Amino acid sequence: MPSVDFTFANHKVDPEVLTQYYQRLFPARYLFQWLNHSPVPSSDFTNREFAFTLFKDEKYIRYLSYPNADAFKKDLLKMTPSRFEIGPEYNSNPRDRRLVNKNNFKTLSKELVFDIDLTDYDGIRTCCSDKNICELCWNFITFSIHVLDETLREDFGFEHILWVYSGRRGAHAWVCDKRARELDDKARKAMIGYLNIAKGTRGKVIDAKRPFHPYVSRMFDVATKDFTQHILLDQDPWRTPEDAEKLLKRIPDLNLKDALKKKWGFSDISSSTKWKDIDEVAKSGNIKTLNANSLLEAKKDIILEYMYPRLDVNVSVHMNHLLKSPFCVHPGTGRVCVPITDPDTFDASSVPTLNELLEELSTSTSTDSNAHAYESTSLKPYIDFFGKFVNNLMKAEQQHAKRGRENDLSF
Amino acid sequence: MYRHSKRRVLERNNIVGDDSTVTPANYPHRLSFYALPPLEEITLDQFELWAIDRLKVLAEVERCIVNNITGQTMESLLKPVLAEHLPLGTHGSAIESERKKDHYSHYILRLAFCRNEDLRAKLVRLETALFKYRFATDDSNDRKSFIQDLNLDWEQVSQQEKDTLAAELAHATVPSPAINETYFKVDFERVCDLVESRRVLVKRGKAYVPNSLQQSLIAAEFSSRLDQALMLTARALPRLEEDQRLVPVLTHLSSGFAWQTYSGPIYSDEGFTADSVAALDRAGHFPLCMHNMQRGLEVNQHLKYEGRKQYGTFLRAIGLSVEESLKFWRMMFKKVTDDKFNKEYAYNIKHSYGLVGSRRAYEPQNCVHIGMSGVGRDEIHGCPYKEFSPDRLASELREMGITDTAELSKIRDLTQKHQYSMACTRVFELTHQGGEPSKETIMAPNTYFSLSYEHAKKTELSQS
Repeated sequence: MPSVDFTFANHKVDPEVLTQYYQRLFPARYLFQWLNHSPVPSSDFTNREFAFTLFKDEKYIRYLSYPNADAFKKDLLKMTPSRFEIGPEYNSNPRDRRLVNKNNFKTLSKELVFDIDLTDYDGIRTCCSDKNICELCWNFITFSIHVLDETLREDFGFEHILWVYSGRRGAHAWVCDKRARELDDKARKAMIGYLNIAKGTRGKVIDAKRPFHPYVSRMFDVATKDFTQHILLDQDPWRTPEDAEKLLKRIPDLNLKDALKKKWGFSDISSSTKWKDIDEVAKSGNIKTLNANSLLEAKKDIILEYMYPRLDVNVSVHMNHLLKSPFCVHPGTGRVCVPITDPDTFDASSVPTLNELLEELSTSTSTDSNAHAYESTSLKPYIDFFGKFVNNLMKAEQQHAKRGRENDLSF
Repeated sequence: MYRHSKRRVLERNNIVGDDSTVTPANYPHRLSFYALPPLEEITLDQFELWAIDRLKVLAEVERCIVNNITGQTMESLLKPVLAEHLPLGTHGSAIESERKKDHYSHYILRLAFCRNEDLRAKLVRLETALFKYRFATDDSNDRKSFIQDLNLDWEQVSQQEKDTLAAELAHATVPSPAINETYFKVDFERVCDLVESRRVLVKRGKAYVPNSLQQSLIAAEFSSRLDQALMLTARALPRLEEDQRLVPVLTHLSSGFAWQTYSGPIYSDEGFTADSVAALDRAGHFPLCMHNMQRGLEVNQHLKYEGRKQYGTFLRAIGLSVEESLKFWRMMFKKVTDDKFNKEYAYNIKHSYGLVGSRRAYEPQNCVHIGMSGVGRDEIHGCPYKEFSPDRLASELREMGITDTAELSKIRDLTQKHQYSMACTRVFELTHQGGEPSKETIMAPNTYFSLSYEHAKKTELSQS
């Protein structure tokens, strides 16, 4: 895909068009089932916080809640939020929070969520910056999705993981397993600490003990495979002498650093040549101080530094953090925040926009009055995918509840 | 009568439902999970004194946590305090009375600190740290029999599974445990600290904990049981309010425990304005963390969310009014339009002053909070003594006027030992008191400010 410049594209989202979207295309029923975990309204849904951002003044309204899918949809149509967010389930109805003692108004559950955004790669990506993305930098997201998805399944044993395009330059993960929803903040923080291999403080970047923990070594293996193509060739981050400083900074031996600097001089040289030069100059054997092993380990750290999934920590660690709902329309790009059905083939530039969808609706020739409106639009594969995901989740939930009942009876 | 009320209270709070009196013979181990409440009589004096002694120990524990002091340094600090206030030996004629005092004082603090969530969380954190420390320094035979008696339901990993996972198990924990190490398999939520620091293998939701790391498991168990017990105590507490003599003591105990939230003077009558902030900073009244953010604000004309929270609450607590605060942030965020400012920032500022929303003003953050906050890329909040590289810190300190290399290396040593508050206090002493040691360690940025501000006032007075 060509570079997708979202900044100047004509995507003014019109409130009336958005109302139509909510009315005819938005999968409110599935969204309800997704959060409710059964067809009959339960506190999973009714005590769930929603937060709407209104068109007018960008007003932000928190602590909304709904008794069922219809009431929710009705409010969507009435208030036409430009976007809305999903918060946690509370121990009482969020609308009644003023009636209960403040200390007794508590969060009970929320999906474990992750947020990856390409702006966090701005020091590394050279293809685009700021709000723009292209398929080259989207590779960072694809890699992160693979690493996180596998780790959440293999290490933490979660199964119901929904990846959603954030509408501009990132992706969200919603881990919906019952166990994930009930994790307290401490456990969420522990997971983020486990997944995040770069520890906060500037200067020190990668914090991975040797030998690599099985999680890190699995990530490293995949990263090594992608590194040459995605970093050295596609991003070419060290081409100019100034940019090469970023690489030199990570070389542990001062003499080697000087030798490389001399060799590269003041002209632009491709990153892949520079990467090879490190070993070649090191092997030439003129550098007595060099410790081959520490150089090898430093190179591993560099690979990890340029590849590891960069997570927005704050989004994940607090149960009460709100996150934009799937199937919202991104106000800046007009694109729908669709589920990522296949990370390998996902192409942000082909995600339907609000205007395209309405266009498709108006030209639809379908005469089948029983069919849902979305079925004649390019939103169909995404809604179908979401529906399947929700059904699997509900099935698992019912089995879980059944097992719980049987265990109770066995006493 | 005291005797009656005491007995009544404790029976109500009886968590285990066992009415048998705990006799000294019931203290078989030095360590304890404090499962059974004490039922013998003690005097009102003992009640208060024992609790205060335990508090002194916990205060020292907290100081270690705040300054991230562990291992031998922690031992050297805690040992004398424990010996003085709460000795707990392994043998000798005093062990029964020592264990009794340990047991009773623990339960009195439960009563004093069960009343709200913050206090409960704090007590759990400190008691768990104390337990961990004692566990680590316990005699290994004692420890073994203590663990056996706990009867914990941990699933042991079978030899077959161990063989299949051998390579992964060996790499997950550094240094690698012995080949014949026993492993326990528990839900990963139960050993958060081990998961967070990637010290165990995590597979399909289970953490594989080697015997060598079981301290974490036991401490987690201790912590979750205490947490539950405190909830039960809290529920029973209203009935205790009948007792005229105990309630004041308990309230007193828990209020003394709140020392770490800033409770010093707030200078709301000094008429600080948006413009005085920069001047106060230049006058050296701000600790390095706040100085760093003020400078960051001036350079970037922006500050990220956590920074705004840390700096904003600090400014509120030095006495900057909400109007001036709004003016200040408006003035600093030069690149932000009025419209955007009002929409995205003004509400939060008013919220932090308790004017809108939940109507509860934010407490200024103390050094514990600040030290624990994660600092991401492009963020400049947090504790500089913790976050800065040694070189950067040294050049900052030189800029603050500390040029003595011996002092600089002393401060660097403190930061390397993770004693950030002590480093900050030393900097204060050098820049304000000509190196004269202060009585206390500075535990909150606002304390630094008020000490500095008072100091300036005093000097001015003596000069005039």
